[in-house]
Amino acid sequence: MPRDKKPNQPDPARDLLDKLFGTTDEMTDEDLNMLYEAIAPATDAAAIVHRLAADAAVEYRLQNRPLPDHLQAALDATWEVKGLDNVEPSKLRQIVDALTAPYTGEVKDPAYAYRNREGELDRHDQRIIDELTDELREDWRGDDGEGKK
Amino acid sequence: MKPGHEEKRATLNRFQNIDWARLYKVLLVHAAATLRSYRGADTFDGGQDCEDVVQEVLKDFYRSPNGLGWKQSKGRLETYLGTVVHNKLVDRLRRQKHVSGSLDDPDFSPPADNSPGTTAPERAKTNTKDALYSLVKAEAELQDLITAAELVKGGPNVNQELGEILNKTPRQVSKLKERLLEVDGVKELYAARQKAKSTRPSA
Repeated sequence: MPRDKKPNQPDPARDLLDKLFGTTDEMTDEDLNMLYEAIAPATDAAAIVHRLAADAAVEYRLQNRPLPDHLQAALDATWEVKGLDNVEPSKLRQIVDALTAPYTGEVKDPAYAYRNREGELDRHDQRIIDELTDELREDWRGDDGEGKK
Repeated sequence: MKPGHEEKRATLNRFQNIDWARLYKVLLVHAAATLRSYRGADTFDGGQDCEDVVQEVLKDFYRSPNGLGWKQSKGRLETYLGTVVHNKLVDRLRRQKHVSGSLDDPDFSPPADNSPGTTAPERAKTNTKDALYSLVKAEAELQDLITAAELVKGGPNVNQELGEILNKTPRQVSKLKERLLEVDGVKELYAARQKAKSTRPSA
C-alpha cells in the first residue's frame, strides 16, 4: 500500500524554534549573533572564513592559476587588519564606508523604518505611520496648549 | 575602456558587497534549522555536523572557479549556498541512517523521547515544544514567550509580531529570547546537539 507521506521529509509547518527566532531571511543581526553564539560558542566567523579562503588560495597558487574574484573578495574582506600603515586605499575606503553606511537592520525608532525599503507599504508599515501621525497630533496639541497659556 | 571591463568590475563589486562572516553565520543557523526539522533534540552531535557541512560547502565554493555556478540572477548567495548546505546535510543524515537505522524508525530516538508510530519530523516538533516548556520550568515570562511563538503567523518581523502578542517592544522580546537561550539546555536544543554531559545510556 502506498504511503501518504514520503519518509524523511521535513514537516512543512515551521518548527517552534524557527517561529520564535525567525528564519535567517528575517533575522536581525543581533538575533543572528545570539544564535550563532549558541551553535558555535567562542568561534570567530571571519577567521574561519579567512582560513577556508586562504586554504583554497594555496591550491590555486600551487597550480599557477589566478584567484577567482569571489575568492579574492573573501580574502580581502576577512583579512585581519593589525595596523593602518600598509593598508591599501581600497581597504581604507571599505573601513570608512562600513563606519559611515546607514544602519540597515531593525530600528528602534519607527521614523527610520523606511530606509532601504523596497515595494509597497504593508499593514505593519501603515501601523507605524498611524503611530507617528498620532504622536505628531499630540505634539501639536501640546504646542497649542502651551501657546494659549 | 576595454570591452568587458565594466562587466568585470560589476562582477567584482557584487562579491565585494558580501559580508562573508555574516554569510557563514547565516549558513550555520540555517543548517541547525534543517537539522532540527529532520531530527529531534538530543539525538546526536548536531553542532559539530552543522559546522562541518557549512565549512565543507564554503570550501567547495572557494575552490570552484565559478563559485559553484552562482550568479546574481540565481538569487541571493546565502539562499543559493543555503540550498547546497541543506542537500549536503540531508545526504549526511541519509548516510548515518544506513549505519544507525531509519530516520522514521520509532525506535531511533532515546527511549524516553519515543512516540511510537510518528515520523522523525513530527517527533522533532513535539519534542521541541515539550522540551522547551520543561526547560523553562516556572519562569512565567519565558513560558509566555513560547506560547506566543506558537501563535506567530510568520510575518517579516518576528520580534514585532511577538511583541504585539506579549504587549512588549521588539527590543524587550529580543532580551527575552536572550534570557531563554541562557536557560540550561536551550542552546543545545536550538543547535540540535547533545549536552556536554549526555544522560543517554551507553550502548
